[in-house]
Amino acid sequence: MSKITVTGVFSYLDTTETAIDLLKTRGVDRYEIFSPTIIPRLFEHIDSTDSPVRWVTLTGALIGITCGFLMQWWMGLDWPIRVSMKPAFALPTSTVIMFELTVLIGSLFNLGALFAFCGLPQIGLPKGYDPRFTDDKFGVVIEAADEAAAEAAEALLREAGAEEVARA
Amino acid sequence: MAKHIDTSMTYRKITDDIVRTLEPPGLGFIALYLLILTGLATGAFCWAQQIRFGMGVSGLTHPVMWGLYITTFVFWVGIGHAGTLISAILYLLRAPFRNAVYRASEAMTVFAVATAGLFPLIHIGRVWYFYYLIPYPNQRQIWVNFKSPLMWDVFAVGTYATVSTIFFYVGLVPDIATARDRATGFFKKALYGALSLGWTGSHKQWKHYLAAYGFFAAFATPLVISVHSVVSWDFAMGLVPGWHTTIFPPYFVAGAILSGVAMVVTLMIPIRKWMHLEEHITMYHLESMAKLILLTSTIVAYAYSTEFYIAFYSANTFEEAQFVYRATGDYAWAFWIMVSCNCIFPLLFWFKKVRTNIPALFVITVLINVGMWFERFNIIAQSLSHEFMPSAFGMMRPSIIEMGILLGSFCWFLALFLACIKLVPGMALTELKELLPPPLKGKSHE
Repeated sequence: MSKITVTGVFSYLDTTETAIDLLKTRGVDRYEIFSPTIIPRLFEHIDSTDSPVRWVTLTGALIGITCGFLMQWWMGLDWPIRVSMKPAFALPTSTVIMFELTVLIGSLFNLGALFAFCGLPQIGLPKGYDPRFTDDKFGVVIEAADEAAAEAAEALLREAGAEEVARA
Repeated sequence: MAKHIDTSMTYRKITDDIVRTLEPPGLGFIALYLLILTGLATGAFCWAQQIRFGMGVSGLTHPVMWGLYITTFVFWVGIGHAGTLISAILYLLRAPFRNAVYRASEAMTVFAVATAGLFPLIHIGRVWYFYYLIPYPNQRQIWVNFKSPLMWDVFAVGTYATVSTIFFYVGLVPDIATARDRATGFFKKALYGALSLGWTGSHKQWKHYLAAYGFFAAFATPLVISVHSVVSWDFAMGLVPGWHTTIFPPYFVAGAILSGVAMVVTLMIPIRKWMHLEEHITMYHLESMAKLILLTSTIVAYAYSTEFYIAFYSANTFEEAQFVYRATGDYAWAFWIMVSCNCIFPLLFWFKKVRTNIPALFVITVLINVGMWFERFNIIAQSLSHEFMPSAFGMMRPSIIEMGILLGSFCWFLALFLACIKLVPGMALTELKELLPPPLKGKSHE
């Protein structure tokens, strides 16, 4: 049997927070909150853990600096350009490209992590999504396993102050 | 009311105002665009002539082998600085005036760097050999020279172009999603649907987005400083009098920020009028930018003075002769245009009446960009025309081909910029909404 999606549309931040509190106290864990803008207070209310994006970005940055070093060292020795007894490889002149590759590979890993953790790109929009969520409305979308759970979700959303409750 | 935004606004109003700018353009816009395309075609024709007949058709000749092309390259890289400065550094400093102007500034950055990137290709003449700059295993069995500042420049500008484009696009995604959800018609729905990548604004997406955006800003901040420092080393690592100086990196960075911020103001003034965005880009924003111009102009004036003082203090005959020549020689007119436009006219921004006068802001920022182009001309053309041996002195005279390519570069930039702000939201509506107090029941957007 397919799962039922229940969507609650809210105009206010505080009523959305009430819905989140009710979801937590009633042990509902399969839900998503939608917001038209960045509201740190709301996101901390839902989940205060740190995003793992940072570790992927750090890995990319370390790969970048290592590649920058190894590339210049190996290519410098493979085809030495001897000018005025200067060494074939020198760290001071290599720092610029090492830095640039740190930023470049770190940024590409950062982008990859953002896409991977956000589930982007995705074809089509998720069930229960309302176009007003990117405009001026907050949304609480609950995934219910069966009819009884869907009815409980509807009741919860109305109790919190949802202006519209719909099933998809 | 907060200075940076009218707090009586609502999320809906911001969406309406910004999405409205994406409506099909009027006849005036189309006529302007056609004019710009004509200029672009002129530039393309001139480049084609240069490719066909060789570098002889340009004005490049001994002793000024780096002429208008490298001058214009450095100019456009400088313009490309303000976007990332505004979007990254002001983001990390939490400066609220950033939110209204950063999207257009970032677009300006991306397209200015795309314009700058053309000039080394134009300058090398045989453009089809540009891939010699890329370090890849090849039949020639040699590698690029990593000790050359020109090679550092390839990596610096390449990284800057890539990171700025990513930063610009990531900032756009939530706004394109809003445009998608408002779009009518197959073309717009398909375009915004594809570009928004399926963004929904769920709490999980926002959490990772905020973390990633912060890292982009953290990466972009030192990158901004590094790129123009590296460009300055193209000169400072050489022995040419007027180039071989340690002050170049900070001097170039300050100059780049000055020209970039001036260009942002030059572009924002007509855009806010044309797109009816006066409520969002207010006098407060323009005045804040004018203060930033005043600050960087003062730093640039200090750098000009230091160059002269060090030339005198070093007791180096060639350096002294170079700077005397700059202020009094064949190109003295170019030097005094630079000083007037970059150091004297911006001083008018000490007066609030000037900072808050839109025609004055427009004229002064245009003059600053004229002055900044001449700054690069003075550094490059003047220094090379007056090196060590009097027998090797010579003047540089731009050819019609170089002038056509210079015109084409401005038109190329404007064509990309105008197309962009007409196709995607020209203001960051998500971040404008962020400045509003969140709506609370019974106290909506107070």
